[in-house]
Amino acid sequence: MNPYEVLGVSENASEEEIKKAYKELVKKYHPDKYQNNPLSDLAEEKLQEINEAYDMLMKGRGSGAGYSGSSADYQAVRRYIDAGNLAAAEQILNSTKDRSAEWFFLSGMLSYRKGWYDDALNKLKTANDLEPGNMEYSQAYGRIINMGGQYQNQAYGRGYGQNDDMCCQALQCYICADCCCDCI
Amino acid sequence: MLGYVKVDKGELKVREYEVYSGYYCGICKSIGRRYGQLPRMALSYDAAFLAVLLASLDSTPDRPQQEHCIASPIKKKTIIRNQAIDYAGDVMLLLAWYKLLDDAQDEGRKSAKAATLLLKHIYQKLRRKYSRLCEKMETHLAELRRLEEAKCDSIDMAAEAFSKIMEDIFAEGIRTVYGNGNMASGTESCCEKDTGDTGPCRLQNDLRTPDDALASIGYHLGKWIYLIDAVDDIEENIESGAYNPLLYRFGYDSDNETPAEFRTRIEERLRFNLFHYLAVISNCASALDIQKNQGIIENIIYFGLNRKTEEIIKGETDESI
Repeated sequence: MNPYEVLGVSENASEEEIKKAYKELVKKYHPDKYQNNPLSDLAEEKLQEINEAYDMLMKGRGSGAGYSGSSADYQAVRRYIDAGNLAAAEQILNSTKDRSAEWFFLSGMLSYRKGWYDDALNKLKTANDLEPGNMEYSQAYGRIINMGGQYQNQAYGRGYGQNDDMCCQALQCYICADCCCDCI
Repeated sequence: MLGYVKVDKGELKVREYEVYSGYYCGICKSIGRRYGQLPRMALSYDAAFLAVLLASLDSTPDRPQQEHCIASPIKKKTIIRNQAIDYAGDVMLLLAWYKLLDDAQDEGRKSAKAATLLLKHIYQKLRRKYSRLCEKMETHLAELRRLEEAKCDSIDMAAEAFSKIMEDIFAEGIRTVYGNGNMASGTESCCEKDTGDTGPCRLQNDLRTPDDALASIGYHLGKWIYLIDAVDDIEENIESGAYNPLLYRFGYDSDNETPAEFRTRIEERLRFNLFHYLAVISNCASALDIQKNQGIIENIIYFGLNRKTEEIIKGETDESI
């Protein structure tokens, strides 16, 4: 199998181009699109081929400064998390005995992608405590901590909390009472 | 669901409030028309949000009608009918059924047992209509029960089963209302959220289709409801000794702290989690190509849920909107 051919990119394609082509193809052959469709098996096969080709190409390619110096296992974990294959990433992380800052960081990001934010925050905090100077870890931690604030800012921008003076609080009670009469 | 998901009425336009009520009353009527009077009791405002959101992807205008209603026989009520409303009604009944089963099993309450007998034929009908959804829900509910019995000390793990149920409800909803695959191909591009952000640090999962965005809203709303309910029940559960994930996650120490001190100690972390769920919900909603009732949806997401979160964290009890 020629991975470049599978992904439809030239052999000197940049990492960005490969990623872009990969994303497009995954979208095209995503199983959700082929539900109850006789072509679903074919699409699944194709998707597998695409994933393999992508793995082949991305192996050995570093992705910037943050990636240097980590062991091969963690490269795979990063790739899997990036591609949304959380089960594969989890399997590697669970089977390793290492509990370095990087392990906590990647486990935290994995939890994050699963929607387990409480767990993610604990692990990212540990990663930051173990390796305080690491920009990648501290940035991820900072961004996660700030998400809720962004929501609150948006709400505030739409006028939330700006009518909460005394008169309006009294009115609020009136509205509550009114609502009860309306709806029951 | 438990009725935490509501509009902030004071910030809603009168016109929007009429439509919102039309959805709420529409669900009630839809249940009454198809299953008789008794199951109408199961209705809560959460269902209205589900119906408004599901219907919002379709540009067909709502057609409100004025009808009489048994709850207010004199004044006519605004009623809206559509498929999303019927679906929300069905889902409410399913949830009510599972709740009843749980009560009957848990406390052996006679009233719950009697009600299961009355509702059994309705459940069987729904089970046939939504066999896939019911199967998933039953699996998750069994898991939920298991974790509660094991006194799970992770909020994420404890909330997972309920969140998955909500995810399935929203995902099944879009399939039921719009048919298989229709949405996936139709509005793909509008839903793309490309932040140019890759690598494991990328925070958002790809929202490839409206189905993904809706499923994610369901999942995170489930997490929010589960956690809000746990916060709301802190004092009650401490008193009764019932399982509450927060008491285990944060190690409530009955000898050295009062429930109020416990609340203060965990407040920051609660805020982090609850507002994080809302942030993801708002991101997903803004990725949707909403065709109508955007004002209502945004009111619920940015005002209703926001206000409720503050209220429950502060321990204020408010039984109305």
